[in-house]
Amino acid sequence: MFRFIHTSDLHLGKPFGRHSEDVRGRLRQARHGVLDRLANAARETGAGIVLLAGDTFEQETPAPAITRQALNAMRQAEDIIWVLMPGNHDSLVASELWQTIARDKPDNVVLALDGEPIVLGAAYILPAPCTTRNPGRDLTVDMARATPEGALRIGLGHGGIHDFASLGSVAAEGPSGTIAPDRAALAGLDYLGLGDWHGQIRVSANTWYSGTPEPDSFKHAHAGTALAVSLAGAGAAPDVNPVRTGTIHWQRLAFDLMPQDDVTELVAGRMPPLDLRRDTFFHMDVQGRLGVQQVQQLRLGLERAAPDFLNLTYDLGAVRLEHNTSDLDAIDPSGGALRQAAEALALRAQDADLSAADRQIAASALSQLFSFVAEQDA
Amino acid sequence: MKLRSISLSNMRKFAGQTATISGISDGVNVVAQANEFGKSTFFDALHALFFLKYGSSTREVKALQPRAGGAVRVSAEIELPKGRFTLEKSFLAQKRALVKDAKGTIIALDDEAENWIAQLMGSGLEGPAGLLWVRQGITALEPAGSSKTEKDSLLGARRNLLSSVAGEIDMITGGRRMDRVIEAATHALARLATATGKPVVKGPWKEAELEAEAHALRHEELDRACRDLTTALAQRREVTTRLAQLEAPGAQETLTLALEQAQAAYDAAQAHADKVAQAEAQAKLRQLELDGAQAKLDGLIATAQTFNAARTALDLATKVHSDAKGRADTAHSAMDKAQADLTEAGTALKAAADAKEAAQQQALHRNAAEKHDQLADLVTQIDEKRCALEAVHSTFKGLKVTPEALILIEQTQAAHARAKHEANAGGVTIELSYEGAGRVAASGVPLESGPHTIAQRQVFDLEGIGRMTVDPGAAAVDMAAVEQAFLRAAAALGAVDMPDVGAARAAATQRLEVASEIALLTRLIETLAPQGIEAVQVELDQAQAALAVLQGGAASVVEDMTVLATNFEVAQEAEQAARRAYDSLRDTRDAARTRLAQTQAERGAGQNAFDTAAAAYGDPTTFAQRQANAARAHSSAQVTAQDAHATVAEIRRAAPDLITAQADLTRAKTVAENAREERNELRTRSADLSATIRARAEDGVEEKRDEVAGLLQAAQERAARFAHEAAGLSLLVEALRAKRGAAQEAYFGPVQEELAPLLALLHEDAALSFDPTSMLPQGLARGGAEEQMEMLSGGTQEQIAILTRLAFARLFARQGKPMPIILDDALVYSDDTRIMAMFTALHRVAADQQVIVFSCRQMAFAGLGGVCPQVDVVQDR
Repeated sequence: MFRFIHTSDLHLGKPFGRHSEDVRGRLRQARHGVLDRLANAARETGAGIVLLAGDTFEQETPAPAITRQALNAMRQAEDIIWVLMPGNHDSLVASELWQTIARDKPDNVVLALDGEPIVLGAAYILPAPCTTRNPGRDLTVDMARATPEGALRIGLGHGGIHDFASLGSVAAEGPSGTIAPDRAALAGLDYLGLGDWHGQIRVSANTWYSGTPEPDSFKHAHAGTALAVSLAGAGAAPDVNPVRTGTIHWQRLAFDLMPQDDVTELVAGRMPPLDLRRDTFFHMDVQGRLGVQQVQQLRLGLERAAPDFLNLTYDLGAVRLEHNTSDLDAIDPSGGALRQAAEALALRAQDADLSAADRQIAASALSQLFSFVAEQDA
Repeated sequence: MKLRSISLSNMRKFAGQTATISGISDGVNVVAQANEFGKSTFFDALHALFFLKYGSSTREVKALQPRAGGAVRVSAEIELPKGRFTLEKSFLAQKRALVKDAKGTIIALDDEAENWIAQLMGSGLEGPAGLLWVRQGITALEPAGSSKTEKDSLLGARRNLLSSVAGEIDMITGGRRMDRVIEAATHALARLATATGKPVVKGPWKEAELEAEAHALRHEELDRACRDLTTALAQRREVTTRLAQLEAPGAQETLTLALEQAQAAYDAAQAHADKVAQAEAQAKLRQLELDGAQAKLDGLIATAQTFNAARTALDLATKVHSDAKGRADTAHSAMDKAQADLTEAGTALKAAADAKEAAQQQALHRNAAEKHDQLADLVTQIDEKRCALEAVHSTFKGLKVTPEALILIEQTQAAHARAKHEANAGGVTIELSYEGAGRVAASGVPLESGPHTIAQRQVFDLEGIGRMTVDPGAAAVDMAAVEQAFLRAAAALGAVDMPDVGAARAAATQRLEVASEIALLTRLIETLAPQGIEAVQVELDQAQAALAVLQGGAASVVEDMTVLATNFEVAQEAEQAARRAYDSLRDTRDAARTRLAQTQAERGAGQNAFDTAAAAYGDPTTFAQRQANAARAHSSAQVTAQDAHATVAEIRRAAPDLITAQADLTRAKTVAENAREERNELRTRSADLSATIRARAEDGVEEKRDEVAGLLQAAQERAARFAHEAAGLSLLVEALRAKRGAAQEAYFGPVQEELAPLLALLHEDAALSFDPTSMLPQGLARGGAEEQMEMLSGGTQEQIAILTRLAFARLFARQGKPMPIILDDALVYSDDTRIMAMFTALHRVAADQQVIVFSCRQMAFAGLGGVCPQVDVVQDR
């Protein structure tokens, strides 16, 4: 049985500049630790090899510390053979990067910098490294080259397949690529390990996108995993099993709320459990119709819950403010100037003749009026 | 509420006394008392009763206390719809507050009494009653120097008054709640944006924008660095690829082989070219031999021709020389004669010139001698005059009596004469007539007989008799004046060494004469020597020198200059004619000489040429033999040369193109050299690019760029959020202000309604506008124009202030809560006409409520009418 770990898209060195300093630190730390977790996954599944199908590094010329620390981590896992292949982010154009790695790498790191087969025991690794960021052609064509009779043929590629949409909704947004989805069959491969798509996808029984072992955005809101692959022999169907490697959860939820909803309870009920929140990036997209008080309650509830999370964000831009009598009564039950101002703002927030931006400004003004009145009455 | 009596005890000037104003009726009440009566004390006492806490020890309370100290008490009897009550407060030493009903029963004590009073007044200090007070000289709508707290309090009071009046004003305008919300929204907006909607400097919005700008700049910089890095990577890849091509196995060998082949081709072409050169050299040699034979043959023919020509030329030259020699001899003889003529003419010319020169020298000497004599005579005259001038100058110096000195002498003499005359006119005269030897002596000097004038008291010795004193008395003379005049006259004469005035006058006359003579002599000298004596002397010296130079020209015989000049000119013309003849003949002779020499040379040359040609020609028979041999040798050389040229042409036809071979070789060498240089250049370029890439890679510019891109996005999103928030706040403030403004329009309606008839008493067709924020009048519109309050006169401001208070008071009264209006020495700026109108206004208001006026202006306020309450002051026990 030939066992290996198939992974890709580590994107080491990704800076996460949008986030605050402490959040960035957490994300970088998680990203750096993924090599150790991959080594552990290999050991736990009896695999001695980790195949990295591209985009190990975020940039073509990562900072020296990034490269050095990655190689050190691989050196530490000396019982594992690491096969590194350039992806589109760290393509062969990144000659300095690959020269540096070739110069500094430990012996247990093997570089797949050209299409020459790499022999690892009974298996022939047939790599298709990205020559540039956008090669514009199917580099896996050369995987059809001959190998000794009976040898395991494992292809390693990076990029999108050209009919991603056929894989169903899970990959409907996948990259429009050049790789033939039946490359494994065409080239007589026992397994084709692909990288580039951060979500994990089974293209066919023996063609897989491993997905990133440590997700870095809401786009692929799943736990980071790698694939533990076992090949019984040439021509045999591979046994592919996801192995958990990620530490940060990215969760994005959409809510469609109505005035009659108890927004606080609804939102609280769908939030992740408390023990996961510390490691969770949580985002809420709220739409629907709500009263001002409901928006205030929702906002307040989210602000209160925010410290539980690694990061919590929300978007209430799609919420349409309901002209709610009880809300206006809370502001001014007597119908005086305050009430009249609130009503004018509420009407403006719902005025279809105004632009969406102007309506949102009016909604914001109304919400702020509610806040100020509440503060005065407190 | 209506006041019926006010009583105060031990307050300020009423120390140990109780002062009471009683009998206060409805309508207008006037307490008109002289200054220092204590009206303001009543006013302050009422203020303390209604608005100061009984337990208070503030400076305001202490100010009520007399110097002697002690408890301060004030009470007032008031009438409410529910009956009469007495309010009383004691401050400081005895702190107490109480309210009694009409029966004298205490219904509230201390704090409860305070609450009772506060409820009565609305809301205590901030209540509407505060508006009803008008103090002396307060014409502004707010008390001068009010603190912000006081102003806010008054503003609140106005609002509360209107609230109580209109009932639901707060509901309409939002009241304090609205104010606080606007304030909070404005504050929140001010934290973000300026009045013009721009981000506030150092505000969070601005900081987010600045941060975004900084990140954008940094991102641009890093992106540029990344592009440079990408470019460097691409270039290095191209360099590496090209270098690999150049260094690929076989590439170098191909270049080397091409070079070797080109070199071999070139060498072969070069060898063939050498053969051509050798053949060409042989052909050239044969040609030279042919040329030699030709030259030899041509030489012999030329020698024969030369010999014949030289013989003919020698004959001709000999004849020409002979002719030239004859012409030269003739010219020489003619020139010798001309030379003798010239010498003779020259001698005659010199004799004429010498005679003329001698005559000219004589003339010059005569002129110089004449001038010298004239100048010598002039010098003599000048010397004479100068000596005379020096003599009179000497005389003049001895004459000291100037006109001024003479005048002084004459004046002093006259003064002395006047003094003496005056002395002679005074004194007494005694007549001495001796008969014996005895004499009368004065000061020891015997006096002659005869009359003697005694000018002053004098003692005489009467020999043998004794002494006699004669005293002129009133006729005494001041002899000292005579003496002084004499001394001055003597001094004037002595100053010029004159014995008397006559001598002085004679000396003065002489002095004038001498001065006249000096002037005359001076003018004479100036006439003789206008340029000065020295100039004349210099001119004389020059004439002397010129004469000495011409001394040799002196002669006893004087020649006729005209004759001498004519002689000289004739001799000169003869000499010139002889010279011209000589020069002409000399030229002729020289030409003949030259021609002779030339023909002689030509003859010599002809002889030489003939000798040479003859020598070359030699023996005629031998010469013919030599010429035949040369012709044969020439024919043979001609055949040999033609063969050699044919050989060269044949070798050339088979030769490869050496230039092409050389070009191929050069190209092959260039290609090889270029390849070598390109390799070196690419290696260098590769090293440079690697260094650049390494440096950028070590900087981690891509990671930094991506990080800054994230920071930039976050900052931009934050700035957008702040902008959105600011827009919302701005819209909110705008909406709130608009709604409050609309409500306030309704808010001021009742005030305007009450104010209009009062204002009409003073100004026809006038209206007040109110500031919506301060809720105070801000302008007075009259005759179609509005004037700002601060631009109005002091009297008008005062009147408007009081009328506004009256209008507020009427609103209050209409709500069933009439409050007394208390004026303390108000209307101090109003003229007689206006004050009467204001009195009418007060009476108009007094129809609904009580007006209590304190004033020291008894006469002015007599026109107010109304009731005069009774004022009593009693000593406390």
